[in-house]
Amino acid sequence: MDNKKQIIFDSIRDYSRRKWNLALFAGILNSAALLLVIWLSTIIADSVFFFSTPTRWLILVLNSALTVQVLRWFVSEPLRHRLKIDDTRELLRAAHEIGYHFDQLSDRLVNSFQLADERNSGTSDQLRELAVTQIAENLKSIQVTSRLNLKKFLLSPLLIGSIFIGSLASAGLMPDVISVSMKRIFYPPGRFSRIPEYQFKIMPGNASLIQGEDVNIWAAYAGPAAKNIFLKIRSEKDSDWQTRELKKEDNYYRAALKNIRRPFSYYLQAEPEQAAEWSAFITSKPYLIEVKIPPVISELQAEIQAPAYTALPRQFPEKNVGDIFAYPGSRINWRISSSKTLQSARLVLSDSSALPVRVRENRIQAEFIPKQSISYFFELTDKEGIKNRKPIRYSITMLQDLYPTVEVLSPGEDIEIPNDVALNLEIEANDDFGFSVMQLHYQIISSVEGVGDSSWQMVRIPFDRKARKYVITNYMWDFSQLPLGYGDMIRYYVSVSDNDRISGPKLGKSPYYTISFPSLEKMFSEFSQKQEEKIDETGEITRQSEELRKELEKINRELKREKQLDWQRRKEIEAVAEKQKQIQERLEKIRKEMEEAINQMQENQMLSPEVLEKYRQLQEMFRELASPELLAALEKLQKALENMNKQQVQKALSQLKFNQERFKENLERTLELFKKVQMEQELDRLVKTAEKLAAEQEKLTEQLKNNNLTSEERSGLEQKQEQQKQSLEQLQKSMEMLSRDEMFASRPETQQSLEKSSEFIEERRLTRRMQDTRNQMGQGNTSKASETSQGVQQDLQEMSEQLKKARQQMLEQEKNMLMAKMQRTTRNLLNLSQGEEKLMKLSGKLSGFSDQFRELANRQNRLNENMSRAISELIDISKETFFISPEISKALGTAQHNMRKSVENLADRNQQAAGQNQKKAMAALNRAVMEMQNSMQMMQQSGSALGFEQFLQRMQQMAGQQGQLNQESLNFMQGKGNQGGLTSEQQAQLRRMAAQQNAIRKSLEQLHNEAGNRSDVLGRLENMADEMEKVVKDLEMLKIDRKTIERQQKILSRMLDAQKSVRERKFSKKRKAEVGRFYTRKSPKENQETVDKRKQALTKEMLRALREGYSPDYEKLIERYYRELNKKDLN
Amino acid sequence: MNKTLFILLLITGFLQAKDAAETVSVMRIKYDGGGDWYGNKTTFVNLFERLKNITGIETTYKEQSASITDENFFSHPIAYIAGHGNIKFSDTEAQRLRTYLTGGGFLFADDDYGMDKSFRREMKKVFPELKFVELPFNHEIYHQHYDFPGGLPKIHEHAGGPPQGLGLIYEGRLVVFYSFNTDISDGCENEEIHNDPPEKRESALRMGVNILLYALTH
Repeated sequence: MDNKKQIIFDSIRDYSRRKWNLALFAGILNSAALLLVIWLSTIIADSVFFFSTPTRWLILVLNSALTVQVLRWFVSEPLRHRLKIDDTRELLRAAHEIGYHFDQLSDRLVNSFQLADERNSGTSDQLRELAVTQIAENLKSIQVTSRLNLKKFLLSPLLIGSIFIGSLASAGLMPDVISVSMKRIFYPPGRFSRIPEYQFKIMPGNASLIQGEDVNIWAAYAGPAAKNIFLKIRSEKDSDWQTRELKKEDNYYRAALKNIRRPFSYYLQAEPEQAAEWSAFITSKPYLIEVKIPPVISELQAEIQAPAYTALPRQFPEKNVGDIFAYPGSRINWRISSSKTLQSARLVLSDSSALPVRVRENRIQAEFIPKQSISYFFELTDKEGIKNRKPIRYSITMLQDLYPTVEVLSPGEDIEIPNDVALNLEIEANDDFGFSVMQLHYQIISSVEGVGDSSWQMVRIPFDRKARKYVITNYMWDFSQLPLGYGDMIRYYVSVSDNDRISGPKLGKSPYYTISFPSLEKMFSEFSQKQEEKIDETGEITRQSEELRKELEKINRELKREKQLDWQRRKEIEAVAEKQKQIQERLEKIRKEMEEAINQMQENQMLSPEVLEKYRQLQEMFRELASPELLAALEKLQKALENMNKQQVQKALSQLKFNQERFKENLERTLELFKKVQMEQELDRLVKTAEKLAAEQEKLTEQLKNNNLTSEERSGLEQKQEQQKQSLEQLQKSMEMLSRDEMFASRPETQQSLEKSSEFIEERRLTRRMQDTRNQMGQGNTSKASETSQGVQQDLQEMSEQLKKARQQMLEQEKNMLMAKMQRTTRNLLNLSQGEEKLMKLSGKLSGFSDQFRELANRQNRLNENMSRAISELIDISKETFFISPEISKALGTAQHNMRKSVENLADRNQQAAGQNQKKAMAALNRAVMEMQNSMQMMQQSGSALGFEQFLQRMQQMAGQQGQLNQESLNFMQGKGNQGGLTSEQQAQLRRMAAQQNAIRKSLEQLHNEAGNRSDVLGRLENMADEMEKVVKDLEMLKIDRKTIERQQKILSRMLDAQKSVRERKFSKKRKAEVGRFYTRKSPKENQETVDKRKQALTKEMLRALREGYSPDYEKLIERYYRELNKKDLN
Repeated sequence: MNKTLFILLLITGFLQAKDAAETVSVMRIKYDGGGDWYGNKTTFVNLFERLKNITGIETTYKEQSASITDENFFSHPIAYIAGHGNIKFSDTEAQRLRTYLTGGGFLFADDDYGMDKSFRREMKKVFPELKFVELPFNHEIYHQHYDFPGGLPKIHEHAGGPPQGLGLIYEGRLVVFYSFNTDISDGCENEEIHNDPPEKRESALRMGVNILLYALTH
C-alpha cells in the first residue's frame, strides 16, 4: 500500500510543481510585458516631450512602484506557492484541481489523498487500501499534468507577444533615441541635451565586394552643421575602430577605399561645428561590407614541345614561370591549379582572341601553338561567377631559327684549271637544326664574243644525312660534260636550305667564286714568253760573266806588277766579287721563277714527262752553277782582302778565276741546253695542242650523237665548235711560225714536218669543215653535224700523229747525232789513251842521257793538243745533252793536267816522273771512256721513266733473294736446335749463306751508287748495307742466332719498304723534297662537343638576358648580339 | 703504383739529367717495322741551336735515340718519331709509350711522307680510346713563340693539299702533335740537303721551336 500511496502523492506533487512552474514563468512574462509597456512608453514619451528633471523623478518613482507591484502580482505569488508544493494544503488544492480536470477522478482523488494520509485514522484500513488502490490504478493511466497550459497563465499571449515584438522594433528602429531617453529616465539628475535631428544617406550601405576591389563610400548629411564627417571602420578581426575623414565633394562626402581584402563594418559620424553634449551621437547606423575572394592561379607549369624538325627535347620552364621562349610551331601545354573550384576558364591572348581550356574542379589544362610572339593570361571564373582580378600577363617570345651557313673550303678562291680535269669541292655547311638540300649553282661565262652567259644551272650535292647540323662534304665536279671551251669561265656558289617546315626552309649561300679555263694557247704562249725572257736574261748574264772573267784577268795581271795591294785595288776586287755574287743571285731568281712556271704547267698537265724531266735537270744545273768551290773561292778572296795580303789575294784570285771560268762554261752549257729544251717544249706544245683538239672534237662528236639535245645544249656545243676552230687557226699559225724559227734551221726534217702539218690543215679544209659543223648545229641538223665532226676528229687525230711522229723523229735524230758524236769522242779518247800508253812504254825505256826526250816531249805535246780538241768536242756535246756527267769532265781535266806535267817532266829529262804522270793520264782517260760509255748507255735507254722500272726490278730481285736467304737462315737455326757444335756440312752451308748475303750487299751498293742524289732512297739503302755487313760477319764466324735472324728480317722489310715508297712516289724529282705550295684554308673547327657546349651556353645566356624585361628594341639588339657571337664562334 | 714509380723515375731522370748537364734534349724513337727512324740527321742540331739562341735554354748538341723499351727512354720529356715507312710497336712498347705520354711526356711525330698509315695504326694501340683531331689555327702551339695565323706551315709538297697539324688529347692535354703532309723535320735540316727556299726553312725552324717550347711548358 505504500506504493500506491506514493503514486498518489507523486502524481499530486507533479501536478502542483508543474502548475506553479508555469504560473511563475507566465508571471515573469506577464510582468516583463507590463513593465516593458510601462517603461518603454515613458521612455518614448520622454524622447518626444523631453521631460524635465522633476517629471522624470516622478516617473521613476511611479514606475518603480508599479514594477514592484507587478512583480508581486505576477511573480512572487506563484513563487511562494512553488516553494510550498509539499505542503498538505497545496497538495489538497492540487488534488481538487486534478479531480476537477479529470472526471474519472473527481473527488475520489481528494478522498483517497485524505485517506492515504495516516493522520486521518477514522477510516478502516481495508477501505483506505481499496480507495488508494483504485485511485492509484486510475492515476497510472492518466497524465495529470496534461491539462496544464502556459497560455492559461498568460494574460494574453497575443498581447504579450505583440508587446515584445513592438519593444524590439522600437529598440531596433530608434536605438539612439531609446538609449538616450532610457538614460534620462533612469538617471533623472543627469543633464541631457537634446540630440538635434540629423540624417545620413549612405551609399553603398551594406555591400558585397570582390577581394581587391575598391569601394567609394558616399554620404549625404542633413543635420547640425558639421565640421567633418568621419568614417569609422572596423574589420571583423579588429577590436578598434579606425577613423578616416571623408572628403567633401559638392554636397556629398566621399571616402575611397582601395583594394579591399577583408570584410569590415563601418558607420559615419559627424563632427558638429560647435561641440555639444550630443556631439558623439551624430552617427549613422553601422553597415557591413562583405568581401568575396576571387579564384587565383596557385600553380602553373608549362611544357614546350618544339617542332619535330628541330629534334629538340621537351622543355619544362620553372614552375610558375609563364614567360615562354619557343620556336614558331612549338606546342605549348599548361597545367594549372586554381585556389578555388572553377566553373570555367579561358586563355586570353593579346590579340583579343580567347581560347577555351579544359577545366576540372580546380585544375586547368590548356594547349596552344603560337606562330608569333604574343602575350597571354588565364581568365578564371569560380562557381559564384567571380573572375580572377588583374591576372598576370605572360609573354611567349618566338625564337629565331637561324639561317644555315655554307662555305666552300676548297678551293675557296678563284682558280684557273684545265677543263678536262675534275675539281674536288670541299664544302662545309652548318645550321642550328639541320638542313635538307645542298645545291651547286653555276653559270658559264663564255669567252667567245657575241655569245652571252649561260643561264644558272643547278646540281644537287649529296651529303651524309646523319650529320644533321654540321657537315663537311666533298663533291667531285667533272667539267668534261659541260659545254666549256678554252677561255671560258664558270661562276658558282653553293646553297643550302634548312629543314624549317614551319616558316619554310631558309637559304644560306656561299660567296661566289670563279673557275677560269684558260686556253691552252694562252697558257703555252705565256709559258713560252716567260722562258724566252729567262733565256734572254741568262744570255745577258753569260755576257756579264765573260766581262767579269776579263776583268778578273786584267786585275790578276796588274796585281802581278804591283808591289802591294792598295785600297783602290781592293775595292776593285771587292766589286768584282760582288758582281759575281749578284750574278749568282740573279741566276737563283731565274731558277725559282722557272720552277714556278714549270709547276704551274705541270699542274695543268701541259708538259710531257720527257720535257718536264729536262726542265728539272735544267733547274738542277742552275742550282749547281753556284758550286761550293766557287763559293769557297769567293769567301777566301774576301778573307784575303780583309787581311790586305797581296799573295793571299793573288792566290785567291787565281782560284776564283779558275772557278769562274768553270762557272762561265757551265753557264754557257746551261744556256744552250735551256734553248734546246725550249725548242723541244715548243714542239711538245704543238703536239699537246693537236691532241687536245682531237680529244675535244671527239667529245663533241659523241655529244652530237644525242638526238634529244635542248636548244641551250646545242648552243653550248656550237660555242665549243667555234672555240675549236679558233684554236685550230692558232695552232696553224704556231706551226708556221715555228717552222720559220731559227732554232729549227738546223733541223730541216722537223721544219718540213711542221710545214706539212700546216698544209694538211689547208688540204683537208679542217677550218672550213669545223665551220660547217657549227652551221649544221645551228640549223638543228645534229646528225649531219655529228658526221662532219667525226670526219674532222679523224683528221685531227691524223695530224696529231704526224706531229708526234715529227717530234719523235727529231728526238731520235738528235739522239743519233749525239750518239755519233759521243762515239767519235770516245774513240778519240781511246786513241789518246793508247797513244799515252805507247808513250809511257817508250819513256820507260829511255836512259837519263837519251836524246829521245825532246822527241817524246813533242809527241806528248801533240797528244795534249788532241786532248784539248777532245775536251772541246766534249764541251760542245755537253751543250746538247744532260748525259755528260761531271765525272767525265773531271777525268779529262785530270788527264790533261797529268799530260802537261808529263811534257814538263820530259823536258826536264825526268823519266820516272814523266812515266808516273803518263800512267795517271792514261788511267784518267780510261775512266773518262768508261763514263762516256755509261752516258751513252743511259742515253740509249732514256725515254723510259729515267730507269725507274729497272730500279724497281732490281730491288725486287734483291728482295726475293734476301727472302730466300732469310728462310734458309731460319730453317738452319730451327734445325740446329740446342745442338752444340756444327757439322762440316753446316759450316759449309753457313759460309755459302755468308757469300750470298755479301753478294746481295754488293748489288745494293751498286744500286746505291746509281741512285746518286736520290736521298729519299739513300738513307734506306745505306743502312741496309750496314746491317748486311753485320750479318755477313756473323755467318762468316759460323754464328747464327736470334739476333742474326732479326737483322735479316729488318733488312728484308726495309727493302720492301724502299720498293714501296719508290713505287708510290714514282721515283721522280718531285719525290725529292718538292717545295710546298701555299694553300689557303679555313681553320679546322674545334671539337664539335666543345662547340655545342659553348653554343648551348650562349643560347642560355641569351634567354636569360631576354627574361630581364628589357624593352622590345633592346631585346632585339640582345638577340642579334648573341647570334653574331654564335656565328663568330662557329667560324 | 706503376704510375707513381714512373713519375718518380721521370723526375729522377730529369733531375739526373739536370744535375749532369742541365740540358734539354729530345729522344728519337727507334722503332721496328722497317721504316727509316734514323733520317733527318741535322734537324735537331739546327733546331736546338735556334732554340738556344732565342731562349737561352741549354740543349744537347743533337737528339738522343732509344727504343721505347730502353731504360733511358723516359729520361727526356720530349720524344720524336719520323720516317718514310712502316712503324710497328710491340704490345710492351705501346704500353710504355702510353705510360710515358700520360705521365707528362710529349711526342712530336713528323711524317716524312709514307709513315702516316702505320703511325696512325700503331698509335691506336697506344690510345685506343682517342682519335686524332686537327688542331684549330688559334691553338697555342701555333702561337707559342712565333705566330702562325694560318696554322701549320707547308714545307714540302708531299701528297699536295694543305698540311694538317693533328693531335691526340688525353684528359684535356695535348700529348701527341703530328705534323702531316708538310715535313717540318726536312725543313729544319741543313740548307744544302733539300735546298729549300730560305723562307720555307725559316718557317720550319720557327714551327719546330714552337713545338719544342710548347712541349716543355705544357
